[in-house]
Amino acid sequence: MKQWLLLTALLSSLISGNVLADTVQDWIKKMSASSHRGNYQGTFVFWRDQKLEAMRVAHGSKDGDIWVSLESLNGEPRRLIHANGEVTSIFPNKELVSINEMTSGLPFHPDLPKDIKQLNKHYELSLQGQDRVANRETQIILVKPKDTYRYGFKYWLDKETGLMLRCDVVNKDKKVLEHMMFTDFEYLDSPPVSAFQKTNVPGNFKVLKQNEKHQIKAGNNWFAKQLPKGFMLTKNILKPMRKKQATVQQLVFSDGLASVSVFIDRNVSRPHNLDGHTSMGSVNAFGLMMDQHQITAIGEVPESTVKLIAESIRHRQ
Amino acid sequence: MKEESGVRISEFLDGELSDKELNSLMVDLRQAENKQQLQNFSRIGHALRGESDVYSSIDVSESVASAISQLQSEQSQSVMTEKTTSGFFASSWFKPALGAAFASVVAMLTIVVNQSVSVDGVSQGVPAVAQQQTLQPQNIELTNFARSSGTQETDMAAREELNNYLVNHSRSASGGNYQGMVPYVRAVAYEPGQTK
Repeated sequence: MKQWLLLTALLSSLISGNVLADTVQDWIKKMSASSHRGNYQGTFVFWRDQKLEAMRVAHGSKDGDIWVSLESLNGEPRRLIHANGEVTSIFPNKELVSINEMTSGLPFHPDLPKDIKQLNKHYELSLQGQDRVANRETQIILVKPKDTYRYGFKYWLDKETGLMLRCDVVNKDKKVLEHMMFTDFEYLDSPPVSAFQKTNVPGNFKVLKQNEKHQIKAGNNWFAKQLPKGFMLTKNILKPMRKKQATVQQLVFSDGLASVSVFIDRNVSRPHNLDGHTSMGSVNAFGLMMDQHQITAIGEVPESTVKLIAESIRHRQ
Repeated sequence: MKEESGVRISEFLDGELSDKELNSLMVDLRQAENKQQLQNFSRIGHALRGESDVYSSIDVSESVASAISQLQSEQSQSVMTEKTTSGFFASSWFKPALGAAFASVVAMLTIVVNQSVSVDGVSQGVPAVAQQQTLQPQNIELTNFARSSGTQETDMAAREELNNYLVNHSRSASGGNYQGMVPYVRAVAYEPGQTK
């Protein structure tokens, strides 16, 4: 009888969601699944290029609906709210509100690739011991690239839920390029509804609306002749851009972890196009002109990768 | 650490302290409370830069105090007639003897005391190391953009263009990989707001 009770207890704990993740793949799955579940709030720091940002986050989910609020706590006030299929960015100092209707109901959250083993082809995944972040016990996961076309990642995952509480982006020289870490964190019993309300937005603020539902699937007249191994085309759309009369074509290439967007702009009358490389934190951009179009590749990958992808873009005649 | 001491360390790094103020700061640095706080700040700075914990064991306050002592000693022997402290520290900034101590504290102060390197692209009087990158919170920083255009106006326009691309990329990236809201954090950090 005791054996049955023990077995039942074990099965219950496995089914309850507090599953003990054994392998690094289990932890990656757990991380992905946890990111769009739960009610929590906290403060984290985001560091890159010698600049530190502090942000407050609130997250809620119920019956498939998800709400997220991100608020910058230093520098110019900025707030971003995702609720009811809209992403609203509020800039009080500029008296500006930007509203984007999203095509996906889960703009903040990852879609788990069907085959998680794809990651193993281009990254070495390993467990790296345990640590404490925001007063919570975490499991450290190291995601090391197998080539120089992508960055490495180090994740600190909440041992209880798998939620990412800290993330470092590391280059091939093991230099940390970007760092995000919760400094305080709290799980809640119910969604922190008040955090998602767009209160205190005066009526005189300028409102910019962009309906991403109206973005159009683009043809395959533009393509990449050569891509780093593992990168695949995941999106190809025409979308309106701020301050532009015409649409811009956006190609998105991803290896499941890193992604690069290529923007193709036919409107080249302006003399201020990016020519060459620029960077900020882990994000690199590379621009060039081709067939009277401005090509700009941008992504959280090394300079060589955005350059390779930008230079490999071709126009099908 | 008392706020006053933090401010004075910042002023020291900017070369704005008089000899008397330097002596006072040196005494303060050797006090236990300040020493501990300096160590804590240093650890935070190193942790945020992802550097090894081995640096945590370095006594930063001792390093700074020693550096100040050395500076004062050199100053008394110097044939330099320039008396202004800012000029003195500006010329002494690159002295190897100060390198380690300054590097630790500059990074610490850049991140912890000053928090933001610049606001709206205007330098806030931070040490020279931090001033190497003048950041504009509302724009992507174009580290080598000079080669692509010449005027300030076109640079600004290009920044705005890249901001748009970054925000759009972040929105796409956030829905397609494992990193959850990290791309959105980038978007909030870089959101342009120049579309008025």
